[in-house]
Amino acid sequence: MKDKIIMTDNMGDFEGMVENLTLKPERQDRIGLVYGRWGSGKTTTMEWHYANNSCFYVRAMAAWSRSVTMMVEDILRSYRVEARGRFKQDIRELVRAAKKQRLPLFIDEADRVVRKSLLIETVRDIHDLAKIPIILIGQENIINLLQRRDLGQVFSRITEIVEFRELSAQDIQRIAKELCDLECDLKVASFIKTITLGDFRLANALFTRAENLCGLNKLSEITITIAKEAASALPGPNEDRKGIERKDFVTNENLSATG
Amino acid sequence: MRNGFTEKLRQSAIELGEFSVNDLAHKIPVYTYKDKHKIIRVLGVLKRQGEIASIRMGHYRYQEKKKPLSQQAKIWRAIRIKEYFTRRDIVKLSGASDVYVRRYLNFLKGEGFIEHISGWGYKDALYRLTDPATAPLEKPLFNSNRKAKQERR
Repeated sequence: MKDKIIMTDNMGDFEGMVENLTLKPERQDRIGLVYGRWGSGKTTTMEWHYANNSCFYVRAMAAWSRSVTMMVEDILRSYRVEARGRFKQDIRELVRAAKKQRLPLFIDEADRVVRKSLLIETVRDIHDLAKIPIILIGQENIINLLQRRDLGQVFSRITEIVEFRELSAQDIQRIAKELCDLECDLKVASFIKTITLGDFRLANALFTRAENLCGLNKLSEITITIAKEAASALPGPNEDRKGIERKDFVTNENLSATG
Repeated sequence: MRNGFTEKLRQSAIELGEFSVNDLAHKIPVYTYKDKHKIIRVLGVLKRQGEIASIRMGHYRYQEKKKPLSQQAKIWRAIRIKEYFTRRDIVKLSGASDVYVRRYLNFLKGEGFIEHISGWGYKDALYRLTDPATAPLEKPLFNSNRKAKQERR
């Protein structure tokens, strides 16, 4: 497989969203939200965007919920400004640095920020005062968390939302063509989508095996037989269940030991 | 003086986003017809430079001029976001060739920005950013020219 990143529909939506937010005038609200299931490619898209465009990135830590100072210090560090350790001064310094750079700020794992109102309110302050686009990236439930009644003033500022969905059949065809140089029928692509549940990591594993099989059989197209054979190597739901059963710690011996 | 006016106009255009000449005249502010003509002249220059786009007759939009990042900048940014990485990761993210990535990584290793942790080769050699907190925002400059190399020697 080739080492390159394929522009999927989700990535296209993400790029479009960032472009829209950047082009919006400063007086308008410019908070964006990206959410989706694990394995849908959010982090890879973020990393690719960061490497190829001028922007700032910070990853929310679980410890932020204990202290807002830590969040401000971490964001300041991403701007390469040394924190003074005094909350009020640091906030002012952060707004000044963000205003000076005028580049979008991405906050990954934003679920942790949204859970605590003081954190998300501070992010809102940075957005309002520095007038920079802020993009929150989180798991599926972030949208429910943001729709809380007490966060109405934040949710109303979110003007662009992108949901990372599972891979489409067209995405799978594109991946097969660009990464493995193999053609893939729409029917086969739909089969692969069903088998991998549209998960990028599983699709990647399947394509690696399918490429080997096609190479051995000197084929230039992934047929349904090849796809089925490649899919047999993927971990299935039954295997997961076996794993859980094996870890059944409550046995009669344990119970008798604890009394 | 002229630079001062252009800068004022640029700042007003950034704040307004979409605007007409009259909106700009109110925002700067401008009181004479002479200054209003000056706005039109500067708008023309900024339009040619690609900073301002015309939406429809008499209405404009400010669009920041995007400078494309250099190959070295892309590699450096990919390193900064990954912190722990292989050459393969960097090639994937930056789109640069493996040869170029290897040369730049060797330069960064020599300067002490990154460390080699374990393994060898394209997929297995693992590197890490020495100090992520103090790694500079701007890429460390690497001149791959032979002449520059000779001069250094």
